[in-house]
Amino acid sequence: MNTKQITVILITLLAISALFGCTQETNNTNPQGSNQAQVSSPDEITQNATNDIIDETNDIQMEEII
Amino acid sequence: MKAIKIAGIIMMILLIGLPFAFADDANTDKEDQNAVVITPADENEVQIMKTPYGAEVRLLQLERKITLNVLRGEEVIRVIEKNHSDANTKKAKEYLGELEALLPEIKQLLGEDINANEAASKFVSYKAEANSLIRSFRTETRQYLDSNDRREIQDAIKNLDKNELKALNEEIKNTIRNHNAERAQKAFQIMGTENEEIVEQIRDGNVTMKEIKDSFKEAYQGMTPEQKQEVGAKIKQETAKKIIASKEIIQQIRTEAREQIQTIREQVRNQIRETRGGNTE
Repeated sequence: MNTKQITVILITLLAISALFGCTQETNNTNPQGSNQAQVSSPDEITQNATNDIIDETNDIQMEEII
Repeated sequence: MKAIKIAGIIMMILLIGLPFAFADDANTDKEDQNAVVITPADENEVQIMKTPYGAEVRLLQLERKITLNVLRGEEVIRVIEKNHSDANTKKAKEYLGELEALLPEIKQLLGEDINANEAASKFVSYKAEANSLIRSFRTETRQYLDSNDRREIQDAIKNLDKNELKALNEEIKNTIRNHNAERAQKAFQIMGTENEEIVEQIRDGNVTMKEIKDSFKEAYQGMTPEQKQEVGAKIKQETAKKIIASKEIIQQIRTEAREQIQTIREQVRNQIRETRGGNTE
């Protein structure tokens, strides 16, 4: 009986720690990872270089009075 | 039995700890509710404000948009007063006056030597205040405007926009060109090369976006595999720096915007009061 109870408790604890492990992993996903450019092709290089260049027609978005 | 007790204690600790694990998120949500709303458009627009030219472009564009709205607003009031003699335009005029009073503040900011984060933060605050005044004006005047009035206003503002904003449009165009030329030069520097010809063409506005892209591609293709690897790493580094800088800007805006909007409102009211005082003297 004692061994059974201990086994059940241990399994419960394992399940809880596994659950926490998963949450932690999700929270720790590197937020910058998706933003970091994986520079590997000329297209990506040129895209990166042109990111700061803005079109002359580029404008800010604002409310219109009418 | 002892083991069950220990396991029970551990479980209780876990259960007690659970709310604390999520408490941080809850607090952040509360803080967010009190923060000034920064739209995705704002976040996108402040990206180029890291450089003095970029900041100048956005502040000039803000000046242009506000000027445009003030001119249009004046037409709205003129048409309402002409076509609806019983209309009360007092409140709408006040909103328009406050909107107009933002212009000297922005012009002053344009002449100041302020850091990128401060410029971005002020840009978002002025824009938020201008948007709020425009919405109030619209709500106030909407009740009087019928389709004929709207048509009359649209006809009147067509020519008005072109004439009044010509100089400002030209200034924005030139600042964008200078900004682009500077950024292109920087990109070539990262690639360990230079292309003064294309940089000058960008400055003069004689080049298309495709031609700029092609020039970067050409510069990249002219490099050795080792250089390409080095440039790839440098660009990665620059991108990471940009991400950090952007996050810092947004954070600064979040912390300062609310207070700044209050200051702007006080400045605008003082300015209006001074103008009125000056007019009565």
